[in-house]
Amino acid sequence: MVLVEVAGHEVGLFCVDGSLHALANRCPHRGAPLCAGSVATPIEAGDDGLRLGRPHSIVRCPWHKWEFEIATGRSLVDDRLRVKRYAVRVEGDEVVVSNRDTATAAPSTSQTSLRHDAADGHRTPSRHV
Amino acid sequence: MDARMLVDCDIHIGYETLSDLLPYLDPPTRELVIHSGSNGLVMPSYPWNHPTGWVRHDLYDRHETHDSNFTYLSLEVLRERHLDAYDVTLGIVEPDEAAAFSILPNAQLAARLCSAYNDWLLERWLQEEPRLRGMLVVPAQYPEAAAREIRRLGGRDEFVGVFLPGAARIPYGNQRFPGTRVAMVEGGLVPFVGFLWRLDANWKACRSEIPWCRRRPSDYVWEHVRFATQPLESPDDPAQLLAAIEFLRPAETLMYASDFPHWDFDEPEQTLRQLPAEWRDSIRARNAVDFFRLPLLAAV
Repeated sequence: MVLVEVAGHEVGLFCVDGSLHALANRCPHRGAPLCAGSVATPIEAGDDGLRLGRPHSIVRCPWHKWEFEIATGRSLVDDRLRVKRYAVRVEGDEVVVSNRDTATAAPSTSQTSLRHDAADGHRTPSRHV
Repeated sequence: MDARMLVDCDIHIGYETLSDLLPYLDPPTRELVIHSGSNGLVMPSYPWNHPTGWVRHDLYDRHETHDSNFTYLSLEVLRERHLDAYDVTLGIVEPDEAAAFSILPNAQLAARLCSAYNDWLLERWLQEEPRLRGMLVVPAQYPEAAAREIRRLGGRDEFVGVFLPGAARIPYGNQRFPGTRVAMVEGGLVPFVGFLWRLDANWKACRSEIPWCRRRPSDYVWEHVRFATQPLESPDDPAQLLAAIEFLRPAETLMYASDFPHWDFDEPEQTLRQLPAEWRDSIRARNAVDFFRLPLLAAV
């Protein structure tokens, strides 16, 4: 996970299975700095006991340990709760994060960028910011 | 910044490992701490372990943590991330692992560990940070030693109460000490409502068994018992919480507590905002000032 600033807002960049995702650094539960939590693999109930879900696909809030799916921002326990997401794309060597929620699909008006190689969250899954 | 006083009734401070207490222990006990078990003395822990960790993960660098449920917190982090961050006027320190001394089978060892912990807490934390006040940890399984420890340190201004864990060989307290005052910490609020309703109802039927209990049991509670707010229950509809706890006389009996740095931490302003304005002022400081007899350090 890499923390960047987009138009004054802290945004965490996560890499799950080679795909980039950008989430606001704010837990929708109590406003904690979500990206200071850990990236983890969800433990799920399978037909025959427990199984591991998609590797490194959730972020766990550092305060109260609520879990959110990185790809969708959704809480694993409350459908109504979602972390604000930002549009993110790779352009050549750069990652471009747009200052808009992905829910509103308008063209981006404000951008920030950083080197693509710095945004690989898998190698530093529990880095603190 | 809020100019008004804020008292946090539940801040947890723990030693990094039991060996931190060695300088405060007598030589024979030092030997026991070093050589007990496989790798030194280990405290009994909860049968349940939190699946993802007991503590807030934004406060620690995981590479520095140890193989322990209870992670060390520095005074600098406590100041920066809690006392300064939320403008906490006074914080009451409750034990972390030291809470387990009272369930050790060896009561003499427990008594010596309690004394060492209290000396460590006083020297390393309470005398270093004037915003902190301590709860004495005493061996609940050894009342005579517990009383000695209270006589030894209880008169000091740095300590404002005695911590007892929610586990004991015999129930705490009886009518021999009618002046005792008790703060219930980390129990939430709603469970006490049903408990007190049940006590009041059963007292009407069973009064003859305890005729010295002349008033409703809940009447004694309003005088002698206070409730720390954390973990404040959070139903989907906040109005249901307020309706449920109104019986507890919240403006008189509730005291704000954070449980910092644990995983079910309640942030001060967000917690207080969930409660009606007419309860809030007394809960943020006044009730704790009265209960712990704390100095008034700002407007309440």
